[in-house]
Formats: sequence, C-alpha cells, structure tokens
Amino acid sequence: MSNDCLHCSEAIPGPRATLAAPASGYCCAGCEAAAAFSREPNASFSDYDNAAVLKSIALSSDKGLMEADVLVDGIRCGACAVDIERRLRKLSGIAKLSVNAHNRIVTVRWNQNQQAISHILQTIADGGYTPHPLPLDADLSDLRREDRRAILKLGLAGLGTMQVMMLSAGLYFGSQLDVTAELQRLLSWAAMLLATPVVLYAGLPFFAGALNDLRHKRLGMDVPVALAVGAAYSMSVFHTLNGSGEIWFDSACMFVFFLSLGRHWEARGRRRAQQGLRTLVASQPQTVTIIVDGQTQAIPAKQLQVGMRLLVRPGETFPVDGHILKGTTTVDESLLTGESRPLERCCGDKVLAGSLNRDQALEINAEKIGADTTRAHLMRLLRRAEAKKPAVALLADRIAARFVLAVLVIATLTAALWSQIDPSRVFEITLAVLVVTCPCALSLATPASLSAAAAALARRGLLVTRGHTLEALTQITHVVFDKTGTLTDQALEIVAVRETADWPRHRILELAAAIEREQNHPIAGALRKAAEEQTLQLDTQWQAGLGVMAEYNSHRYALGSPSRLLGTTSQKNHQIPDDGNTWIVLTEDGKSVGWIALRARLRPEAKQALQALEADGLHVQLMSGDHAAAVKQVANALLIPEATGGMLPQDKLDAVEALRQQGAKVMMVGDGLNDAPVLAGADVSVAMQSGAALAQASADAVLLSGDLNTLAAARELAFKARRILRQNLSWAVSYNTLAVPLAVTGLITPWLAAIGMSLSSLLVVGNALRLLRQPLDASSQQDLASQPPSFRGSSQSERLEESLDRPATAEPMSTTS
Amino acid sequence: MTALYLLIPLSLLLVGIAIAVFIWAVNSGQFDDLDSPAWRILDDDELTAEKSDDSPA
Repeated sequence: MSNDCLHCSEAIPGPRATLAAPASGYCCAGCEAAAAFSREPNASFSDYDNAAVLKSIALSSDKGLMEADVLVDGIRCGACAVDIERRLRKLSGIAKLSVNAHNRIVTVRWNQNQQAISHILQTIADGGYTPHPLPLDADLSDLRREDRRAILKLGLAGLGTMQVMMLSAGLYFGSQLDVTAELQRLLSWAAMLLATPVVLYAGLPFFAGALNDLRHKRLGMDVPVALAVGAAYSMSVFHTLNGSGEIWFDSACMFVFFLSLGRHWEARGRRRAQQGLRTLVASQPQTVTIIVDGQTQAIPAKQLQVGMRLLVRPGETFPVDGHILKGTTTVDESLLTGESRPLERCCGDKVLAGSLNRDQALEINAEKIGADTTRAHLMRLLRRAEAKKPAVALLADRIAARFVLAVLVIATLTAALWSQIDPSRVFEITLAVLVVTCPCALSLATPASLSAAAAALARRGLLVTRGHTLEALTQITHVVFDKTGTLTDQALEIVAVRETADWPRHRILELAAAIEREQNHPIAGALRKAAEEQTLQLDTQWQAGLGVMAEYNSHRYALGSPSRLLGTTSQKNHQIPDDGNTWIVLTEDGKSVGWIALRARLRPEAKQALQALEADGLHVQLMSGDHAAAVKQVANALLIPEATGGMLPQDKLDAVEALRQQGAKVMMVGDGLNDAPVLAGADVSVAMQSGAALAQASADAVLLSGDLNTLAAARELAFKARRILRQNLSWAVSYNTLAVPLAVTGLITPWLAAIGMSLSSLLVVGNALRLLRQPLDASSQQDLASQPPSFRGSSQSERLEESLDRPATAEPMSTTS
Repeated sequence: MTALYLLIPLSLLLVGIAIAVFIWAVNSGQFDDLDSPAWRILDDDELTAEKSDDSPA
C-alpha cells in the first residue's frame, strides 16, 4: 500500500523534478488536492470498534461474520463506486461487498477476527469519501424492495407489450392473409395469456390510483386510464372467451407500459433529489464520546442522556444542543442558520446539534438531545410545511376530470338510449363508446409534454423533481431569494481596507497576499486577486486557531481573526463596525497595522438574472437569516427593493405564507437547511446544487448549473410547454368529440377508430417533442460545461431523452386504441 | 399456416423463459444500480480470485 497513491491507488512514480512535488503518499498534485478537498479533518473511526457501538450498526452472523450498511457521502457516479470497491477488495477478511452508486450505500460483510470496522471505514475515507455507518433500524430493505418491484413491473410490461402487439398484428392483418378462425382463436388466447400479468400486475398502480381518486371524490388522470385499460381488457377477455369479436389487448398493454415508463423516470429524478435527505439522517453521529470521572468513553448515540459531559473533537458534528464547558473554537452553523461565517464560541456559549466543530476539542454538556434539538425542530417544521404543500390544480387534471365526467355521462346516456332501441346491443355499443373515447392521446399528451419539457430544462441545468413544477412556474408572481449561497457563491471578495499612516492600502494587501500565498482557502484567493504586486516571497507558517505568521525585515507579521490575534474585544476597541463583513487583521509584532473586510462574492450573473425576472413582471424579494447589514449591501448592489435580514426559518415560512394569503404565487430560491421549510411551503421552490441536502430534497427543482439566468429561461420554457400541452389536450378532446357521436350511433368501425387513434397519438407525441428541438444558445452551453462531472456522465437529461425516445419510436407499431 | 400452431405456443414458452430470467435478474440485485456497471470496464485491476460483488441475499 505504501507505494500506492492514497487517493487513486495507482503506483507512485519515482522521484521527479517537478516544481510542485506532491506530498508523500500521493502520486500527483491533483490527487493530493482532490483528497485534501474532500477529506474531513481528523475523522476518526476507532469509536466504532467499541463492542456496544458496533452492535448498533452491524448485524453479526455465525462464524464471527459481521454485516453493516454504510452510506458513503461523495459517491458521485459509477466511477466512485468502482474505486471504493477496488480499495476494499484489497483488505483481508472481507467476505462480501457491494457498492451501489445509485443509493450510495456500501454493504460489507467481514470477518471480525481478521478485520476491524474502523479500518474498513478508514480505507473508504482515505479515498476522499465520507462514510456514515447506518444504524440498524435505518431500514433499507423496504426501499430496495420497492425499487425492484418498480423495475419488475416496467420490464414485465415491456416484454408483454411487445409480444401482444406482435400477436395482434396477426389478427389485424388476418383477413388479408387467410388466417383461419381457429388460428384467430389461438392468437387471441395467446394474447390474453400475455396481457393478463401486464394489466393485472404492472397496471396495478393505476387501478390503485384510480380507486384512491374516487375515494377522495375527485377525477384524476388515473381514472380514465384505469377505465380505459380495464374496459379494453375485460371486453377483450369477454370476446376471447366467446370466440368472436374484436380484441384490444395490445392497446391495454401499451397504455400500461408507456405510462409506467413515464412515472418511472419521474420517480428516479425525485429519488435522486431526495438522496441527500438520507445523508442528513446518516450524518447524525452514531457514536458520542462522554467523559466520566475524567475518562473518555465512546457510547452509541442512543444511550446519550441529558446532563452527560461530552467531548467533541475538531471536525466532528455536535450531536446535541448544549453549552461549552471547556475550550474555545469556531463552529460552522451554515447547515442550520445559513450563516456563512465561522463563528467564535467559547466557555458558556451555546452550540447546536448539526453544526460543525472546526478548530479545537471541546467539552460540552448535553442539554437537548434527540427530538428536542434545534435540528430535529427544523426537520419537523419541514415536514409540516410539506404536508401543507399548496396543491396546484393541474391543467391536464382539470381537463381530464371534465373529460372523464363527460365520457361517463355520455356512456350512461348511450346505454339508456340503446336499452330502449335494441337491448341486445347495449353492452357492445356502450363499450364501443368507452373504447373510442379511450384517452390514448389524452393520457399521452400530458406525460409526453411534461417529460419533454423536463428533459429540455435538465439540459439547461434545472432538474425538475415534481410534476407540478412546470405548471406552477407559469403562475408565479413573486420570486423570493435567500442570500447566502444563492445570490452569493463560495468565493470571498474584499470590501474595504482600513489603512493607517504607515500602511497604505496597497502595502497591506501586498503583505497580506504574500503571507497567504501558500494557503488555499477563499480568503487567500480574495487577497491574491486584490493585491497589485505579488513579488514578495516569505517563509510562512500556519498555526491552528491563530492564522498565518511570517518573518519579514526582522518583524513578525501575522494575519488572522482579530479576536484570536488581539483578543475578543479588539474589534470594538478599534472601532471596527459589526456590519456583517468578515474582518481580518494584519499585525506587526502583535500590533494591528491594517484591517481588511471581506464578504461573500455575489454571483456574477445575479444582477442580470434578477433584472430578467423583474422585466418578466415578477416581484423579486430577498429573505435571509444573515446579518441585516450584509443583506442590505446585497440588496443595494442588486437593486432589490424588498429585503429582510435576520430571519429565522419560521419567519421565512410565515412571510411566504402571508404573501400567499394575499393571492401571490411564490417561487422560493434557496440553499440552506434553514431554507428547507420555506422551500417546502412555497408554490415552486428551487434549491441550489451546492446547497444543503435537505433543501434539495424539499425543493421542486434543483439548479444544477448554478446559473441564476436559468430561472428566467425555465419560465420561458414552462410557458412554451404549457402552450404545447394545451394544443395537445385540445386536439385530443376535439378528436374524441368528433368520434363519440359516431360511436354513440353505432356507426364507427374498428379499423377507422384504430387508424384515427394511432395518428392522434403520434401527433401528440411529435408535438411534445418539439420542446426538445430548441437550439441550445451560447449561455446554456456554458451551463453544461460548468456542471459537475457527476451530472455530465450519465446526466438526467440523457435519461429523460431516452424515456422519450422509446415511446416515440415504438409508436408506429400501435394499431388501435 | 399450420406451422403456427407449433410456433405460437413455442413463442409463448420463450417469452415465459425470458420473463423468468428477468425476474431472477431483478431479484438477484442486477438492476439495483444502473450507474456504476458502465464504469466497471474502466477498472483495469485484475479480477481477484474471490468474486465479491454479488448482492446481499
């Protein structure tokens, strides 16, 4: 192992005379940077070797074998999964191993006598991934079973449909090919045999959905589908058993297959967005270190009790809400509050479960645990908001409801009419009406248009995860933005430099940039960008918790946080305003000589994107949990008239609710965990790709490109999609309106109905595919280039296109409907 | 045409086998992960003697 790169496991080449020699253990500077980028500081897994802890995450079987599920954060695509598998395969004592890139879970079974779980976890972590052992009660088998059942239904429907269509072709062209009546019966029976599992098993979700709709006294899309499939199937069974009459097994199967396909892709998109939610649950520490009589002891998180004294190491997440008993550190609360700056915390200060301890080991007392923590409260808030999610009445559903009602009324009237004219033909003609109005085009119109639009949007960098999003996009009146991470990005920029007599601006920046030259964090990046001259070469030294030091002209310089270098009250003493900016200080022999204010940089396209939305007639607002002064700065820079700072998640939710009370339709764009409840409560919500997992799970769409311009483009596309959907629906409805009178009077022949229905379906799908043919303009091509590789390799858009290609190419085979 | 009396039941049998194989494939976990197998071909490590990537029962 020692001669292999710690990141990529390739052999390390011999000594080379390169300028930037990588640190030992890595083959190249790239691997070193990749590992450093993704590694959590000081993560330690030895706690998991503790017997009590191990029992809570691993299942033991006979012969000393243990099995555990580990959710691995950082698996972005199949390549990562293969990489992890390769690493673990090299360990001894591994009995069984599966790495799933889809749900990011590594299932490993190992021999407890030969291998320790801590070493397995460390091996995963060495690759730059973050393993989270899942507690045993995080039941995955249900999800796995559900996934498998869905694939099974889809595959069965596909296989069955192809065969039934082939057999039906024999029946339709039978008259030209002198097929005997006996052979016809054989073909019908074979088709019935194949169609039965497709309709009754693969089609079950539609029947269940229709039943559910009826129970709630509404007429959704499932009702006409179930009715059509059920009628076509039962009528065909009736005719097959009778040995006479037309059969429609092929159309019944086709419906089931195409509709399952559409729903499958939609579910996959949603599942992908929700994956992060599981990470969040998993990132809750499974073990905690308690201090009893001065001794540290690892226990499972479940055994933690209020009042216990805990040790939290740097790089660890706080497991509880509590107060610091001993130690000073900075914490990262961005997951909870959206506050972008690391916050100083020392004795007696409150820390929150879910925030990250950055610098020093701390002792804290457990005050609120489990369901009482702030984080648990946020999750509850989210769930409540999700339950109240405004139900957007979909155009397609509204039309479908009226359409179904009309069909049912007409069918009933037809039955009543024909029972007076000729009772023997009642059943046949009533069913003919139902079949002819069979909403083939209607049921294809909506999924075809919506998935084409979703694919087009994914190409532009917006992943739609919920069906109503497109429709709702066309109705919004207000757009509410979060600040941190949404309008700003990861980089920092310098806002102000406070000069002193001997130290003009350029000198402060030059020295600061030289001191930070070898550092690789946003502050250093901002300084390098701002400094005019960068010729100074200094020997620098980084000291944990203090900052960077350097000797120059026999003076000792330091750059870092004022409270660390000069004491906690220094900022006040030097009259540095608490304005939401991050201030750093440059000291010469312990005395401050210059101050630099930094803030999160606005996304370069933010202003243009916001103006485009306002030009579209939308009200743009800013709601942030950040410092009011910082929010005001951003609002001024972007010309946002309404901006509020210092808002808690509940405040945001209330504000959006209030807007909705006044009749506004609100689109919320945010990124943090603190935004999750309001994202769930808005009419349409968009989460940033770089944002918190929970935010993505609760949003209707995820902005993969990170380009805010995509929002205006998405709205435009949504309008186009709505137009096409309306064309499709009106075509389908008018076709049916035309066909129904003919069917009611008993005039329509099966041939005519079949051709008409096929053409009508083709027209609808072809029309929907127009959405995909929008040429990519220059800016959206850039979007694709700026996407992370994970979304390029097997991107959502490609998969959605696949799903559309299939119905489109298979369509000509359809013969009747 | 009489050949069809043999061929149609035969095709039904073949479809039945195809479906059975598909059910087996799904249940043995081959469809659980549709993303990573495409990358496996790029892994040029020699296969270890012990086959270790079958899914849990």
